[in-house]
Amino acid sequence: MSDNSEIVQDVGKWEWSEMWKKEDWWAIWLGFIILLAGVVIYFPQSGELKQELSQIEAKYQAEAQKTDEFKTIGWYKLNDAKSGVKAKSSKIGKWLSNFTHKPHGWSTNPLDAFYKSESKAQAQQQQAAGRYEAAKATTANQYQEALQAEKKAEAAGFENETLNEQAKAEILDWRNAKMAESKAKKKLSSAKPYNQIYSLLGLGVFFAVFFGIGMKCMGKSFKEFLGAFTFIYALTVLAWVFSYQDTMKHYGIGYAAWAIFLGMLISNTVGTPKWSKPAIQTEFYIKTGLVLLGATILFEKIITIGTAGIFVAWVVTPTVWLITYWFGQKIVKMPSKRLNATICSDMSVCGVSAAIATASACKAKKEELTLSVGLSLVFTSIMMILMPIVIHAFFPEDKVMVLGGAWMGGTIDATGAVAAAGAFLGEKALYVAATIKMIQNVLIGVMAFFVAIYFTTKVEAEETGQKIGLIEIWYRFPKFVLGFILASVVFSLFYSSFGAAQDGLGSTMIDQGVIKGMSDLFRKWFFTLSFVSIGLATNFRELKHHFKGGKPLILYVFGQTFNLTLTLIAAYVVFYIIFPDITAAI
Amino acid sequence: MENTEKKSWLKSWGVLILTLFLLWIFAFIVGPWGEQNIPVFSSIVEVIERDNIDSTAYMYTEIEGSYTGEKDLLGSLKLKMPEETGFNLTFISGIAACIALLCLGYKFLPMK
Repeated sequence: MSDNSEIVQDVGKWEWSEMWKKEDWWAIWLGFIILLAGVVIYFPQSGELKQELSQIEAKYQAEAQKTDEFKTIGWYKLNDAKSGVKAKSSKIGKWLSNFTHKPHGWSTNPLDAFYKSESKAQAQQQQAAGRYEAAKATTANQYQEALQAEKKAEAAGFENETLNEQAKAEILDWRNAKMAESKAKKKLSSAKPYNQIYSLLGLGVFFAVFFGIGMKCMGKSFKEFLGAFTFIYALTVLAWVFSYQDTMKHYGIGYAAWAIFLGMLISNTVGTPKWSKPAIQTEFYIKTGLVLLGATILFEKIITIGTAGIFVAWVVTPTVWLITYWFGQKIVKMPSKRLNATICSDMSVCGVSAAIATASACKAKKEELTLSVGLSLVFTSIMMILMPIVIHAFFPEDKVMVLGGAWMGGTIDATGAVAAAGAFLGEKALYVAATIKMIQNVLIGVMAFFVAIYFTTKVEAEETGQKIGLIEIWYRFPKFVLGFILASVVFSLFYSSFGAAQDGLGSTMIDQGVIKGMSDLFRKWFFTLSFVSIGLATNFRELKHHFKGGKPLILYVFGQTFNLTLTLIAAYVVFYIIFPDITAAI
Repeated sequence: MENTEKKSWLKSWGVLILTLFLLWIFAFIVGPWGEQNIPVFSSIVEVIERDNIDSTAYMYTEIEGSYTGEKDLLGSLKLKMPEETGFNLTFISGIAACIALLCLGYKFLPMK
């Protein structure tokens, strides 16, 4: 994105010094330093964890594969045991998680976001312990019932349909009880005393030095940056505090919305302090965050619900993107192609993350990103509440879970809202919705690459009136996209090679190691820093100018309506007409 | 001149404080009222609290349901229809369709 009104800033020449003077490259270096640190910290454990997984397999495999009629108790035990093996559970992983922890959730007292006393924690523990013990007892009872039912079905060689169905139902009850138990356990373990103040201060110092080094190398004053950064960081922490207040959490108003809002509130009322300007480095933070985001784009994730999932997520999404972009250009006559593209991505792919990636790839203005993110956040909250109501009211009972889940997963922008609405319908709906969203998340990389190529070779060529050759594409191409794609490719390869060495090791080392134990911990902070910077540099009047005639709203509403219609039709055709066996299997 | 500056200063801080006050009203009065009175919303809130869902999350990595869902669904398919998992021909045709659509878009998207 460009920070000022100039859209195209790249100069048509290449100098090697760009690699240590330009923020695109510094975003790549800093992003990869964090990812490399994750590799160094977690990968040495791979041998030990591989052994642990193979021991688990040896213990439960035979039980798990007793029949393919239904998922046996052994099957679930195998999965549970494997899921419990996480690289991030190491000592250093836990320390990192504590150090980078955001402010905690709170209800009425904002101080609870930073500090919980021993006595308060003890009172909560006592309350939670009672619930946990009760849940544990229920699970134990259900387990016995499930075990008996499975034994009866096994005695009949798993050929008696009635006994199989009974066993399936009892096992499902046991799973539900177990899930309730694990949630109660989580509540119990989270009822611990904490003092987040020191780690937040330490983290602020770390970020200031981390980005400050990059700034210094790019020729800016390190000292001025440090002073200014305290202000940006304080607002970032405040954005997190606001987003974790109970009511805000329930409405799904997340950190991006608060960061932009707080920044804009200050800049448009009392004004952004001049001394804070050296740290308003939107692009630097956002691009570094995007390189980290690249590591979460793992291509193997797209095989989860087989062919059905890929058609709903990967065929419908680009269709909606292209048609909405065309509609924006031809019918709505959007004044900015960049705003058009950013809205298309955030509406059709997956909201905020896709909007950030696309806006950066096409060098959209900061107000254009703000507007797109704002539209997405408003509609996400509305859809999170309305879609389950519509599904309950109009869908046939047998199609609520899979069709309803797929519909919500393919259309609601943010994953958190997808999960909340899916969980409301039921566990299977949550699984289908979250998985479709995950497959769609992988598209962020594909779409960002497409947008970068399209804008570099076509839109910029038209704007500058120059024909763009291959070497010119290299000059103008947003380089951080290379870091983003490289991170995605490298970690996809790691994921696959770990998975090939031992089933489940890819998830243990990458998902539950480098991603959740490193990249994710920092990425969200970097995005919040960038959104605060966007807010502080945004003027209401400029924003109003982009909203002229309500064109962005018309575009979003058209796109989302088309998305809702096409996704519903595609999900029905794919899950119930072309691949009904897949639907029955899941 | 001094008076105008003072007025503008007061107005700026006034708007800031008023906005924060309105936020407080939303967080503690209007929002909770909506949770109770918008149909179905109270049940969604109950699920969010019960399952500890981060409804403000933006990526799949921030939601536990993505991982459990992935394992459960893939496991079900592998158990019952192993031929439908992995990169088979139909699956690859889905990815090819996506790339073909983007290529068409690249060629035919309107420039004006």
